[in-house]
Amino acid sequence: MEEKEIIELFHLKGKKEEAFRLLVNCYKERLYWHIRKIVLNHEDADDVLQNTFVKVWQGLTEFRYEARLFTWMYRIATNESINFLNDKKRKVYGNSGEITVMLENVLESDAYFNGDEIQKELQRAILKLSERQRLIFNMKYFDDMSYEDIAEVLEVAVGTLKATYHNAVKKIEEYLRIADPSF
Amino acid sequence: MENFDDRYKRKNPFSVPERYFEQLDKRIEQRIEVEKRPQKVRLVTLLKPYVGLVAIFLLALFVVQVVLPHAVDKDRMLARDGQEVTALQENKAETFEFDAGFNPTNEEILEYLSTEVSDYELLYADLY
Repeated sequence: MEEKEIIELFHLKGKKEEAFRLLVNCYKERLYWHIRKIVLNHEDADDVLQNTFVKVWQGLTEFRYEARLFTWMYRIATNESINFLNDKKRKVYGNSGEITVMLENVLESDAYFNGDEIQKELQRAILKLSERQRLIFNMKYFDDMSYEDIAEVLEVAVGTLKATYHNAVKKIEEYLRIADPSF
Repeated sequence: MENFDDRYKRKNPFSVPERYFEQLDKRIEQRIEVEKRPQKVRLVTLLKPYVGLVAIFLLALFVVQVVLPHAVDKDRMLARDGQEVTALQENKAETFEFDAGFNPTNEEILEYLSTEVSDYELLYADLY
């Protein structure tokens, strides 16, 4: 079903829940993996995903198609993830704590990490990026999103995205050359 | 970039518990049901503004009844000529010991009263 059809169904009397179920079914995995790459831990990703869908449910009535439905949901998921990390960092480390340190610990202790040591090294390298670089890198490299779609989610110009992605890749390569001599 | 892709192949290294996505829909549905229910407002939250008003009122009452009277020195007052004297001083000047044997006649009372009347009072006496 097309996005527009889901929205129209949502506004029909008695069809709200049905439309929302379709939405969840269509987008849950994509949103989950986007969130998971930000928060790293499965339990945290599950929490954030549920919060995201609650916000989608609450906001859908007012949704006016200024952006595409999926990029709108992606943006909610991104903001929820970042807010979640900031709150977690504050609770665990106080105001002076570093998110990178916290996430490195999460990565090391994650029970649902199936990658090998090379994959883990890449994740460590990604954690060295700034928040903005990390988001853009994950969306471009792993989610294979177009620059236009990323621009819609993050509300950043395409040119800026390209430059940021390029710098992110350079930084990761630099880190890996030191950490992984075979690279 | 080619090396990068060759090496890491954009593989997703993360996994999820078994049947996670199959069960996810129902869990989200349940969460939405909770959101739909009207939130119970805690009694404390409802009463807060009224408690505040009562507190302000009690504070004002306390200030008026307890603090202010002590702030004003009842013993200090202005004498008739505008000079500040203490009531104690004035009272001392006018206190006398009660003499049970003192029993003035009417003439004596009138004579006493007439010496205490001011010119001002005499002037307006005829008006009444």
